[in-house]
Amino acid sequence: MRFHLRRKGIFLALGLTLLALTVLSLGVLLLNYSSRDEESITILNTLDRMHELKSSIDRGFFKIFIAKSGIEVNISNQTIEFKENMPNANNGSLGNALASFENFIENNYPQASLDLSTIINEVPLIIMPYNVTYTHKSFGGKELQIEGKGISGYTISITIQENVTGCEIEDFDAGSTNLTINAYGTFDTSCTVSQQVDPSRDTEIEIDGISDENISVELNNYRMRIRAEGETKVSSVLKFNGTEPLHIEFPDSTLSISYPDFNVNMKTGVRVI
Amino acid sequence: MLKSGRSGKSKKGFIFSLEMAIAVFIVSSILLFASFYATKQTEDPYLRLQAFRTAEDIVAVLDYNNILTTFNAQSIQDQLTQLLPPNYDMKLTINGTFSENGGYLETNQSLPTGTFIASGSRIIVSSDGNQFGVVTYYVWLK
Amino acid sequence: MHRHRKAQIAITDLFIAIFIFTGLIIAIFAAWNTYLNRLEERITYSAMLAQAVRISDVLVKSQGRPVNWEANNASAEIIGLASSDRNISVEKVTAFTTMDYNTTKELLNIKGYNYKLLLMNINNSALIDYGNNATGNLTVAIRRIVWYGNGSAYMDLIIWK
Repeated sequence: MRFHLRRKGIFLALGLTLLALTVLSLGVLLLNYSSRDEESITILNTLDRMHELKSSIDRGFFKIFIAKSGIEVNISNQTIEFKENMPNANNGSLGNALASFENFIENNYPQASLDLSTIINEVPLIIMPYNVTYTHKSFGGKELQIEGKGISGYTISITIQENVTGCEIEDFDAGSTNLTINAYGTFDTSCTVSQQVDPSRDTEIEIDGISDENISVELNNYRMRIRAEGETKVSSVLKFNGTEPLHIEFPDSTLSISYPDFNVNMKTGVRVI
Repeated sequence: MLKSGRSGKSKKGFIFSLEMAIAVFIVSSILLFASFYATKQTEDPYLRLQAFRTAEDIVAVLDYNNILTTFNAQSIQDQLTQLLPPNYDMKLTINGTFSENGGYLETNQSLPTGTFIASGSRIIVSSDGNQFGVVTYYVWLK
Repeated sequence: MHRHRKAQIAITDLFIAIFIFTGLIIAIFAAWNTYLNRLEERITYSAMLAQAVRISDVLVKSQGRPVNWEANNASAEIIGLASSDRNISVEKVTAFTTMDYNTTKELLNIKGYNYKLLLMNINNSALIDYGNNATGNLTVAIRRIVWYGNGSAYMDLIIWK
């Protein structure tokens, strides 16, 4: 009987201990929950730092582009205008500023890397959300290109250092895209011509009074090429039919940011305007 | 037998109480331990996240206002004082390629000890595109 | 006589044991209840604060989806109030304040809670006051500093239950 009572006592102690251990586990759970909070905060913070870095790099590129490119960009609803001189005399200063900025970023932020070689060479501007590219064969050179679908109207205005006697759009296929050419020359000479064309087909534009070698404008397979030998001012106004606001980016893969400890990586373009 | 019976009765009672005393001791220890775990929480991590956000917001707004690229410590300090919520304090340093002050400036505050300090950084570029800097910010609860 | 002594000792012992046992059980259940409540409160509070941070991030950093949702409120899938990072758009704010409260709750993904959004200038005078005042017993608030109109402003998001 003594032995029986002792066993009862043991069971009582054990039972109460088990109950108390359950309470302990709840306390441990509370602490673990706090630790999990810490982990998710760390991930949130990492993603946030990535966003902040990208955002400040975007802003830096915006300032350098506005100050150094010599390309004026105006956006109004679904219309975008690019104005620049050809050849663009800013190629050296833009290239130097971009290269310096790239070095500065990579020296101060080892997690970031930039690939600006194509951007410095061609200054390709991607018009989003349409993925239309306004670019240069070689920035500071004699040719600029506008490539992509979705443009509902082109208005190209060219100011040259010669007399303009007339202009024509010839050898075109009729379509739904408006093409307007304005040419301005010396002594207040000018001409304007407009047609509805199919940009997927060949379209020849002739500006009279100057030789073909000086100015040529071609539209073929959704690519417009404007080539100017002498000093020329070019304004390219592109119209779109959508509703989403337009903005300009440098190409994808310009910027990479990586935090390998957290397995977080980003490869992206840079928003310029 | 009687003797042992008498001493057996006392011993039975003693053993039963002893078991209970042991149970009380064990359970109390475990409850104390559990209480220690339950109260041993770190400072709310989301408050730290909020401090980060406040600092990031202020630096971004100072950047958009082009105050940071004046590279003028007093102007920056004045704007910072205006924007900072009353329960926070903040310090900025700027390190870069600008010519003012040898490319380095900092605001007045000293970093406190024994308290959590959130910090981060942002890149700034002057309006002429020639000068670059890294703004490092430190924020803490007063 | 031998039996009486046995019985007296047993009852005393039993009462003491029951008393201590009951006390222990009460202590255990009280502790259990306290920690459970604390855990629940902690989970709810953390969830609300996390949500407040995330929602305020979207509001001040994002243009929303589509990016010009303010032209047609019915088209909004995600509400963002920024024209650019932390630069709050007057048009988007105006459009937001004309929307139905429950619709905005859904679009902001505020499930199970209520909210209030305040936009104030640096002197703390209200520019925009939208949503329901906090009347619950659990409230979290987050303050963001933004650029609005011609100057700096505070945007407060209060989530309550």
